[in-house]
Amino acid sequence: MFEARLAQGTLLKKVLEAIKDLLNEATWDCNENGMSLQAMDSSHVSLVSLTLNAEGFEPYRCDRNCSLGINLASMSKIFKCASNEDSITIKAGDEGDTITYVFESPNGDKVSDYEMKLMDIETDHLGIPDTTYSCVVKLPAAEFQRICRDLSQIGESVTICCTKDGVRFSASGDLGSGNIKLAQNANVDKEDEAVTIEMQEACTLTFALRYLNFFCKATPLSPQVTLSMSNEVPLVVEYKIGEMGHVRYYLAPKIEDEADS
Amino acid sequence: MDKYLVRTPRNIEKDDSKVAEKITNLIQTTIRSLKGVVVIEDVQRLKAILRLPSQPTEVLLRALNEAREKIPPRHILQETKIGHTIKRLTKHDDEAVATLAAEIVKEWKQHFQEKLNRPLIEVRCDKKTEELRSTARRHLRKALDSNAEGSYIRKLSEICEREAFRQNKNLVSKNYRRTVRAMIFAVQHKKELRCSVISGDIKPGDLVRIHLAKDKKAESKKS
Repeated sequence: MFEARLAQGTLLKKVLEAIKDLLNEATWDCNENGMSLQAMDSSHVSLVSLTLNAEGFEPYRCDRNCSLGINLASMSKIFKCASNEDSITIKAGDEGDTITYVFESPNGDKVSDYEMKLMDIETDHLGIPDTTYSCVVKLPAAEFQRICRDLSQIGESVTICCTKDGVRFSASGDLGSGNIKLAQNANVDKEDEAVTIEMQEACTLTFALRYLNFFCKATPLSPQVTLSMSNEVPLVVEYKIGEMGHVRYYLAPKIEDEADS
Repeated sequence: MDKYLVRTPRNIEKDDSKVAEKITNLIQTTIRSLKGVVVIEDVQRLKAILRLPSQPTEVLLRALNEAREKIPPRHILQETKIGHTIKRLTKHDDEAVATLAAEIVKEWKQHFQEKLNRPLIEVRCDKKTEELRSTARRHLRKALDSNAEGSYIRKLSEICEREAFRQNKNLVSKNYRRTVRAMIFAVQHKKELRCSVISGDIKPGDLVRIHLAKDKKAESKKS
């Protein structure tokens, strides 16, 4: 028996909005610590890793570990039926091949429940380094969204270059090229507005803007985003979901074609 | 009009096409193809193969070569303990297996040792922040040594300030100001402290930590 109730249902709606464009289906792994999800997009270029801690739910009950294979497009459709103020309860039986969502209005006057079929999804679990990156850049999420949107007017890919002068995002294409440079900005009233850069070595990598724009769908979840880069591992774009958990996007870089040169 | 014009060919355009080519040369990699990413199930499978006693040499070599293509992340190494398995193979009877295993262990070790405890590089800040921080440095320098302009003192004050900045989450916040102020006054008025900071008995990091802790206590008293 699995049951989790989230008073702030809008949070789950936002989470789903943030991942449903990238993933068609995914397996939610539920255990006593919380719910998590790890899935690659169909082209295997990016990976989404989502964690929601049990403490965020009230109540949270998970008798034994279970994996729920869910079609995210359908889940998102159903979640559109919930109002922003509603609380959301997710229920799954031990043997059943269905999952139930219950939406309750704050007043308790309206309760709606939806049942959905589960699916069988076979996935590998990927191990990706979680510490010791060459460069870690923290910046306001809206700022990052703006940069990605602006540069996607110029070209298909963005080169992120981190040096001791700051971080530079550059793109080039048919119409020309563009650069956006950010220096550390520590003199702010709110912590969320700061740009901080922690660097162990300079690092330059190129990524597809198409995917970064998908990642930016998570902007409503968090005021700040963390970009971590290193050679030979994917870029990590992390958004915190309040105290509850985080959604991390991993993106493989573009490299120069060795066959051509 | 064309009649009167003499057209000369232009060579400039060629350069443009070169630049364009350079851009299109990029290809997209996939998550799995990256060296630092491993499939956990694969690692477990490899470990199972390598651990079985009396395996033929070819199978071991193939598995080791597969392992060599990746550098598993630290937490995966700790979880699966594949490193131990490979290290045990360095004492294998077959020389080819033993040397290959030794090479892998060496490569992996080197990779992690390189990354361990690398110093952080100082990154430029915006104008206002730079200004505030250089003021803090100047005051610290004065407090450490009021008349001399030695380069050692300059460096020391810089390191102290940088440490204070880092320990305050890289922000010029109220706490940062408080920490720096406390540090300056302590160094200025406590001769012993000043001497031990200059001689290096107290590391800049510790100096900051002392004043950071005081700061937090004061705050909790208030609230």
